[in-house]
Amino acid sequence: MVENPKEFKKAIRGHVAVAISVLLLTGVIVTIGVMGLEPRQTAVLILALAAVQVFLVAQFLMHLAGEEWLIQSVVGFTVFFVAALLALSVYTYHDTYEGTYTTDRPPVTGDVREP
Amino acid sequence: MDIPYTIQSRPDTGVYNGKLGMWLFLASEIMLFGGLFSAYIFLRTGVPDWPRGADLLNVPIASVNTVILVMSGVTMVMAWASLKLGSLGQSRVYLLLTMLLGLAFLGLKSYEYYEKFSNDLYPATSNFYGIYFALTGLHYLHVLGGVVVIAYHLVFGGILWRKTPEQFVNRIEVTGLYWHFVDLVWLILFPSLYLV
Repeated sequence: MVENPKEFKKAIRGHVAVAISVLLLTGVIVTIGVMGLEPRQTAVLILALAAVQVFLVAQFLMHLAGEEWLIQSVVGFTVFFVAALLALSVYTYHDTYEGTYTTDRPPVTGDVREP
Repeated sequence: MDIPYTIQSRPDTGVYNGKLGMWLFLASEIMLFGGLFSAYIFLRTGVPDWPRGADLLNVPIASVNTVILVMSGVTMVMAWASLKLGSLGQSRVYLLLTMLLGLAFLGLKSYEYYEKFSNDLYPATSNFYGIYFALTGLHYLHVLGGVVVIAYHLVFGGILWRKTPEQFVNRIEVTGLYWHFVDLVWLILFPSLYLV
């Protein structure tokens, strides 16, 4: 089934190397998580490293890197819409009962027309 | 009547139908988990104080579970690779290992749930536990589904292998795609719930 078994075995060793990298990153993530850094800093670092892990799994173990354009488009569109959904969810953090914060200024409240 | 393009690639899509179907299914799964993550963000940003996952959940067990799932991803790749190299026996060994690792994950996760329930911590206890049980529970069901499919391949795969080996290789490939996706979801769930 495989035309060049030597090349194929080499590719499989690449897969194992990717999995080992993911495991090492897990170790780093757990270490950062229990180190007790400032919460915002911890969140940014951990989620960035988790994104790298996800990228490695999707690109190499799921073979997305060498996949057909159609499949890459399906995944690309889906990830775009999910990212937009999550970004909007994060944006609601700026929403308060008084209004929406877009800068450090307090929100505009009540009737904003000139008297 | 035979289902077309189960082995050869379809000329217009460039892939066999099973693979395209699995990717479309995974796209819908991304939306499903994405929606739940969105709910998690809403709950978390909507309150001034949100508990730190590491203070309430069992990080060592979850870390071991992460290692187990990543290792099961490797054995799944090896199962597919063994078939590509023509060895059903070796592939079965790797499939069995993948299934056992999946069961180990489920066992540890069940123990974690047992720990919570025996301390009277349920989804209704707080928003934190509500979203924790919803996200990890859905993921648990996905792992369980994967284990069932792998068990099916272990028991009945030989029949298809003898009839049309290429089709069986493709089935293992799409099962592997699903299994890696389950792994991938956990790689996001674990840090978001337990460590952040």
